[in-house]
Amino acid sequence: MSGFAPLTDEERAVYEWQIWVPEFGEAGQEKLKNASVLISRCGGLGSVVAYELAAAGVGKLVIAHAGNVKPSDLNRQLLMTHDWLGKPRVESAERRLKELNPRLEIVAIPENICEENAENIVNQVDLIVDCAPLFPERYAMNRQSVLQKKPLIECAMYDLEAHLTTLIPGQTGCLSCLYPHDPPAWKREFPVFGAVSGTVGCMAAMEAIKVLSGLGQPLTNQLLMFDLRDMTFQRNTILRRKDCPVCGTLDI
Amino acid sequence: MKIVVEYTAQVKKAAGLSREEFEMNEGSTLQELVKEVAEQHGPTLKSILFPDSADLHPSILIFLSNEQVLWDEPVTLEPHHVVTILSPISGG
Repeated sequence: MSGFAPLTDEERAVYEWQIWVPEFGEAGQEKLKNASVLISRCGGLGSVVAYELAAAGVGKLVIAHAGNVKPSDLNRQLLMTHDWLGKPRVESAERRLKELNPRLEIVAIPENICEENAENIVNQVDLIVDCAPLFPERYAMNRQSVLQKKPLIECAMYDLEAHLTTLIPGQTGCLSCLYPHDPPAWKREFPVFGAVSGTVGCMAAMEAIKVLSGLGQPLTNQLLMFDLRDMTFQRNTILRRKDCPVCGTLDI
Repeated sequence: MKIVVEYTAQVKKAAGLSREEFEMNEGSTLQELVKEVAEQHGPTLKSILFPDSADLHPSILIFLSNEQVLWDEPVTLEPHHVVTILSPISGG
């Protein structure tokens, strides 16, 4: 997207109720319209992040997710539908997002993020929302977040638990500060209700909206942890590691 | 003194509960407590917390009353402390 595009009358009508939010207003809406976000992947978490950002009027979404829709996706991956079983996930996601917001620019990439493609894909956006199920994908996005100095919203869930933090190069540590090595206990398949991934997905989308528009106080240098099994919420301070091999040379 | 210890995710699964109390001597350190947790809960939890050596796996996080503490920082426990042992998660 080139230049800074003002809101149209149609957009003022669609976003009227969120433009009423104090300290957001029309200026905040214009920032969203002119912003771009990478969401990887579009599973239980990323589907909800993408849907909320499309609804909120973010101008461009880059969505990255390999593979075809499977029956076991459908309890939580809300951009996937029964009629798209066996067909590419990103096509289902693009179709559903366009139904919600036909003004949205979408770049649908039928790949998962890896070290080889991360630089080019991250280069297309202003902000990243990390919804990947495997730590190597998360580390690839984190490295590019630091190198390209782009905010990274880290969100994840397991069972009825979820974590969320907002990493901003130059203001916070990075994912490698938090978890220096690939956690050995993490497994590709995990217990999940869609309502859990959807809850933290909505929160991550709100963090993206806040960072892009300058609204409120992002969840920086803190890790929100919650467990919907007993509705306990904790906000813990987290540290930057000065010897971090990824972000240790950045000035803070 | 009694210290409350909380567990998350795979650490919670391996411990078999989300929260418990440990009786520790005055002057005990956080590091002693985490080693005691591993010893009391057996090999599954111990292999997550201390897979290779006497040092905690660097991606297991420890919070002391909502503040992250790095493993190599000596910290003496106090009776009001709540210790949280976090296992990283990546579900999406």
